[in-house]
Amino acid sequence: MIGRHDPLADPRALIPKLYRYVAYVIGDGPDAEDVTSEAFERALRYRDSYDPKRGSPLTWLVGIAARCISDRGAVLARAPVPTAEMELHAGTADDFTDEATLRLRVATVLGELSERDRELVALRYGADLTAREVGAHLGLTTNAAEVALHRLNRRLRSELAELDRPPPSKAVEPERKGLDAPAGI
Amino acid sequence: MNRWRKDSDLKRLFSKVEPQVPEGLVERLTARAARPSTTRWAMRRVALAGGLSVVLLTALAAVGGISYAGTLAKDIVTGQTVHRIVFGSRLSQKEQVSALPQAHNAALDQYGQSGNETTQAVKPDQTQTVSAGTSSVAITPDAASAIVAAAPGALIHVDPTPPNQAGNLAAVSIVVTNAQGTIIPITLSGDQKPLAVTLAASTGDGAIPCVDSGNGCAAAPELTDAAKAKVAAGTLTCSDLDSTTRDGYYEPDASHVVIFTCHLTVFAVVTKDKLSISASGRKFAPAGSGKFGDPTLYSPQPAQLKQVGSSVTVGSLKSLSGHSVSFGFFVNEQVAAYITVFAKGKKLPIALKGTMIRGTTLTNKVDVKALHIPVLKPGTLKLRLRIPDGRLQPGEHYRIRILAIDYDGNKTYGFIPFTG
Repeated sequence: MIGRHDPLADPRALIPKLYRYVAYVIGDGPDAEDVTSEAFERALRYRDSYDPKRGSPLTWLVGIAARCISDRGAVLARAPVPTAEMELHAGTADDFTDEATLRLRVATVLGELSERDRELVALRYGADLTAREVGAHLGLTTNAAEVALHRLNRRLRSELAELDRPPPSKAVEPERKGLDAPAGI
Repeated sequence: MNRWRKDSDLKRLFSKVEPQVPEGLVERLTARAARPSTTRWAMRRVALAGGLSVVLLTALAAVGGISYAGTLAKDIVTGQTVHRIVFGSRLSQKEQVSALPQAHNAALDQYGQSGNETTQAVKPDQTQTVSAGTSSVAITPDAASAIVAAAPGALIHVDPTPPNQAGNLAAVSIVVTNAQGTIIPITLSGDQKPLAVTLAASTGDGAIPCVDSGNGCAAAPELTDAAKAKVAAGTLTCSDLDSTTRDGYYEPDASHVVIFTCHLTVFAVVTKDKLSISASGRKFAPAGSGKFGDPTLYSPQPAQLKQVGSSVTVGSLKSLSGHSVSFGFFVNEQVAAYITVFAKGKKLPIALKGTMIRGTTLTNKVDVKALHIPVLKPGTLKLRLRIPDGRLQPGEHYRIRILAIDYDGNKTYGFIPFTG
């Protein structure tokens, strides 16, 4: 018997956000699909116990997904790092500068983030949670969550700008090791 | 403290690159949510099944069935195949045995008659062929004992025509089940010798070995040279295989492919358009779509880079300042390429405006340290980089670095030296 507040009454609106949250945490792909399905199955099992006073359906689902990810941590730790997973969905080979390049830039920046910051990206830009909801999920006050999001956004902007910044004219970058491949390719 | 809310720029950016929800996921889960909860019925069914199992085991114990199952019905092999399965040893020649082995069957042994079973039991100490004709399945003593040791009393099913594998160049399904037909996952540890599945097929012309673990056929990576040496020495272990897939293949000759694996499932050689999962476990884009991850434009190995042309041409541009640096390279699969120009270890800026890639001239008015090029059509890329004024000096030595990251995240570096 489903209670009056069925958290899954409108699953179509929830599933994409749930998937994006998972994809930002563990990387887009089959693992993300599996975790999303698993979280949803768990949610179905416990939909009767959902308490609207403790958060929105989306926050509740994200919490379940976070536990699913935690349960699978040992397996997912072996997955390729996100920086290696460059998602490109550009239409043609000639689309060198627009969406495809943007995806590469974002993937590169996300790969540089700490686990904590990736979680924040997943909550804010994947699940589209508010600062209050982010705080509730992470066990922070709303104010602390806002500060954390502010710092994250500052870092994201800085990293994105850094990618396209020309090198300083006088700075001498030391020769990187590991580049001594054969002279020709 | 509302500064964080000024993130509309980032929200717009992330909305452009947000992960694409897999096709059908929303519909599947929505349909699942619409069905009534089955928990209570499921629990009742489990209770019922448990009760019946107790009754069945009691009945079996009364006639010695459990003991029989534990000692004889260890392996069941079905169907026809041209594949030889060798556990942890070097490739052996395919054997042909004309006579069918005697089946071990509780009904046959006790009552002298056979049921309608299409399976044949194989003694663990025999190399057996399942059927006459051109097809044969052979399990060496090591194979049988090793697998059964992992799952006592289990049944090995070898199916040379696995479902949903139509059109493959060669395929075989090897799974272990319990007596009820439920598949028992078999995974070998790192120090164990892998199972070698030999398929009568060859790669080339877009064909590739793959392993299907339920989500789709994943490309098997080729064994490294070190692993191939261990195959020749007979010392290959599971830890020598790719750590992600726990599979690897090599071709002993032009007509056979050997897939080494540390788990049992469906093995096949398919054309690339039938692949659905890459060697690293990522789902492919639709075959022939041209999107990044198109399996027909994919290789499970790191990308191969080759310089096209013997030299780099340095010149000037008609309407823009700075120097042009023209060169070409070949890449054999889809990659994200990053082009960087080094001068004594220092990255030179590349002006996007005036830089030309495959005949397309870029117009962005920014300079970058690394030029990102998503190469969706593998082949030859001819580039003309524009280096801002005053950066290239006559007689100085430079080099162009090409970093190619393929769909699996494998990185390949290439370097082209040139003189200003």
